[in-house]
Amino acid sequence: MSTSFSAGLSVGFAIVCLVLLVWACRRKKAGQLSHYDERQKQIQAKGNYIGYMTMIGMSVAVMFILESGKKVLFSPGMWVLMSIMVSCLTGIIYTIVRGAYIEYDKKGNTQLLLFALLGAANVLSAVTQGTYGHLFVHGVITVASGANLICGMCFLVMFLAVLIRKFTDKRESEEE
Amino acid sequence: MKNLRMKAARAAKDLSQAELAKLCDVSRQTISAIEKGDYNPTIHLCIAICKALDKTLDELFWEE
Repeated sequence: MSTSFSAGLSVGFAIVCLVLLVWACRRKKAGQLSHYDERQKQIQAKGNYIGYMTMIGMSVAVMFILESGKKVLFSPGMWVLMSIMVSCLTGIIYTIVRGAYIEYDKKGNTQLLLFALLGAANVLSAVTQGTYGHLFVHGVITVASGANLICGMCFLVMFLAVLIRKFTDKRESEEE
Repeated sequence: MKNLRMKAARAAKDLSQAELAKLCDVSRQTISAIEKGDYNPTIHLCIAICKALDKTLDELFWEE
C-alpha cells in the first residue's frame, strides 16, 4: 500500500470520525440522540444478531475457500472485507425492511441521498480503476483495488432497500 | 391476534395511524403492527395509546 494512499485513508477516517463526533454532541445537547421507538429497538437488536450470525457463517465459508488453496477471484484480505461488509449489510437490510432503520420522526430522505451519493462515487471510482486495468493485481482483486467496488455495491443495495421501504410505507398509509 | 378495538377507537376519533403514532411518540409502522397483532406493545406504550384515544387499558387491550 503506497504512503499517499495510507495517508489519505487516515485523514479521511479522522475527518469522518470528527464529523460524527460533532453531530452526536449536537444531537445529545438537543436531547435527541435516539428517536427510535420500542419496536424499532427490538428489531435493531435482532438485526445485530442476524448480522453477527451471518459473520460467523461467512467466516467459516471464507476459511474453507482460503484453505482449499485454489486461486480465487479475490485476495484473502478482500474475502475478509467482503465477509464483514456483507454481514453488516445483512443486519442493516433487515432493519430497513422491518421499518427500524429510519427514526420514527424522520422521512429518510437524507439517508437516501447519502447512500446514492456514496454508492455512485464508489462505483464510479471502481469503474475508473477497472478501465485503467488497476482492478486486478496479479489476477486477483485486492483490498486496495476492490474496496470501492464492494462499498459502492453495499451503499447502492442500502439505497434500493430504503427506496423500496418508502414506497411500501406510502402504499400502506394509503391502504389503512 | 388483530386488535380491532384499537382500530375502531382510532377511527372513532378520526385519527390516521400516522397521527396516532405522532401522539404516542412511535412510528406509524408500530401502530400498524399493533393493530395487525404483529407486535405486542409494552405497558408504557399501551398507556400512551389509551391516553391518546381516551380509552382504558381494559377497553383496548384486555382479551375476553
